[in-house]
Amino acid sequence: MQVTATSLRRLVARIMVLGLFALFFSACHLDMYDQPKNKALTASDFFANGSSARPLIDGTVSRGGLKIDARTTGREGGDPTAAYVTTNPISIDANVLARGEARYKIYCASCHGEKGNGKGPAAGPISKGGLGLKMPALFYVDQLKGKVVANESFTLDQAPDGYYFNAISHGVPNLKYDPTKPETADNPKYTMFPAGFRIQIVDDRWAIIAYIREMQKNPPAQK
Amino acid sequence: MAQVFNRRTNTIVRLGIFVGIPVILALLTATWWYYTRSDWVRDVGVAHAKVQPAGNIPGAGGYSHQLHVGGLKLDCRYCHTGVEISSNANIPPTETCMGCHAQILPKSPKLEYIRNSYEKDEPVQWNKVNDLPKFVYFNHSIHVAKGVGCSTCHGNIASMAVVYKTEALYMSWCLNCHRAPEKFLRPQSEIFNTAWTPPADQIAQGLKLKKDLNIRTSSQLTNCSICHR
Ligand code: HEC
Ligand code: HEC
Ligand code: HEC
Ligand code: HEC
Ligand code: HEC
Ligand code: HEC
Repeated sequence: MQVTATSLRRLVARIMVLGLFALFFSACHLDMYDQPKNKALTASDFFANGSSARPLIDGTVSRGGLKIDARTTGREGGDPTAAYVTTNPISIDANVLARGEARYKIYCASCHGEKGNGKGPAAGPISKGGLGLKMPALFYVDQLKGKVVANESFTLDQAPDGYYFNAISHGVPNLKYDPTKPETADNPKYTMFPAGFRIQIVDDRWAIIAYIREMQKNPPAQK
Repeated sequence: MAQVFNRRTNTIVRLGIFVGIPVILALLTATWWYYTRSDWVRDVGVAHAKVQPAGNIPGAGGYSHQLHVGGLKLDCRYCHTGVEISSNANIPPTETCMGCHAQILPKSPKLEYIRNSYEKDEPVQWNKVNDLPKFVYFNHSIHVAKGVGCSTCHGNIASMAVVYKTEALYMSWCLNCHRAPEKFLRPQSEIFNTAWTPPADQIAQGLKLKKDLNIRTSSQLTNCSICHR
């Protein structure tokens, strides 16, 4: 076929149309990338504190979560004024202990040490990048002798499981807490980890305690 | 009829065909590649790190994974509590920082913003670094459960003073792994090890893991509705 001026012009026109199509096929779609919906932790200017998530109303209970017993409070019968439970309310087997060990390494070992000797990487002197705090060596009974626990009459090695549960769930009881005043940031009932780590799965806390008890019974070899 | 075009036009047309069109096509291809395949447009790399509330200069108050994870050996799950149980990995609330910083550096001006946030109950507004479009469904828990470690997607976080993107997060990148996950799978004990490197026989090990973990076939994992729901 002979290439004439007209066919050339048509060709050029076609290429231009194709080019236009190429433009239609690409880009210009960012509105679907950023839709006006909120995903977890999205910021929002609608609420005063800038968060799109709303805090739970006091006393909110998740569906199926309304169980107030020894397992969820660490107290006999779930009564907040009753004595701490002395035995672990979950049944313990090798799997639970393994789970407890793994969770202990995530949440506690950085301060209390992998071997429970209080020599975790975050525990050392500030000059070495640590917290500069005197760490309790949780797990060696002879080191614990005589150290009476804050606000209580027992030593840490004698402390009931429920006491450990409360320390994990709320923090360490504040020695200077004044029960006659309301509980505020200046008058906290608990210190150290203020709601610090959220070990959301309640049974994980009991698994950690089971593992700590196991360590107290058979202290791992120190090097 | 008289000639409409003179002879010179031939040269112009030839130039147009042999130079102009290739140049236009090359430009189009380059533009397409730049916007859909390249790392540059996606802020990959430390030079493009998102600026966080306290600035990005290490040691000036910004949160540093290098210090807290590399130095203090904190586990990812200490802060990113959702990563094993939810689609969202979770950024820690101020309380998690205050658990330590109520006592460590309690007066430091560098941590003023953390204390302010705690006292006023206003969350710190971290800027999202890895940000998928809202029409994509992603889930951390399945990847962590099925042998994909943090560093495959986020790089060596423990060595980062400031978090930056290490992957452009294109769809082709997700599919690349969903077609052949064995290239990236690692044993369960290494998931949170950010310095993990694949062994020499990665493919063999990966195929074994793939079988043990019951990972679905490539055609099932590249089904559009897995990621677009
Ligand atoms: C950030 C560092 C840190 C982490 C992480 C940490 N602790 Fe502690 N813990 C401390 C310090 C410091 C004390 C001592 C507090 C005191 O004596 O006032 C303490 C005390 C305790 C006590 C004794 C409470 C008392 O009344 O003396 C228990 C029990 C305890 N921790 C359990 C745990 C468990 C279980 C975990 C893991 C889930 C954990 N801690 C994680 C720093 C930490
Ligand atoms: C396990 C305890 C722990 C937790 C949890 C923790 N930090 Fe730290 N942080 C430390 C220690 C220890 C240092 C080092 C202190 C020093 O160098 O004297 C530090 C140092 C810092 C510094 C100062 C670094 C500098 O510039 O010198 C900042 C800022 C900081 N942390 C922010 C945070 C933020 C934000 C969070 C919450 C996401 C957090 N930290 C959670 C223990 C912790
Ligand atoms: C002490 C708490 C803490 C620990 C431990 C921690 N992170 Fe983070 N991480 C944060 C905070 C706070 C941010 C948000 C600020 C930022 O992006 O720098 C963050 C951000 C991130 C981001 C970027 C999120 C985004 O916006 O896309 C990634 C990825 C990440 N962390 C991975 C990890 C990994 C992997 C580990 C374990 C090796 C880890 N983190 C351990 C506190 C922590
Ligand atoms: C398969 C790849 C992949 C793996 C493995 C992975 N992430 Fe992510 N991560 C992503 C993507 C993609 C996003 C962005 C999600 C979004 O924007 O919805 C993200 C976001 C995040 C965020 C920001 C908060 C959020 O959920 O959007 C944090 C924190 C984070 N990842 C931490 C981790 C940690 C810790 C691990 C290891 C346990 C991990 N990631 C493993 C791909 C991955
Ligand atoms: C390094 C490998 C890898 C990368 C990268 C990766 N994935 Fe995956 N993904 C997997 C594996 C392995 C599974 C588990 C498949 C199974 O269980 O059969 C999975 C599962 C999923 C699932 C769950 C499937 C279901 O049926 O619920 C979703 C959703 C998903 N991936 C989305 C993504 C998205 C979106 C990206 C990119 C941002 C991505 N993935 C990147 C390896 C990867
Ligand atoms: C493994 C997860 C995954 C699967 C499977 C998947 N996609 Fe995607 N898709 C993504 C991600 C991630 C993006 C966002 C990429 C980006 O940020 O540009 C995306 C983006 C897209 C876009 C928008 C592209 C753009 O530039 O706007 C389209 C259209 C799309 N996907 C179609 C499909 C179709 C059709 C299928 C099935 C054949 C499919 N996807 C399967 C993860 C996936």
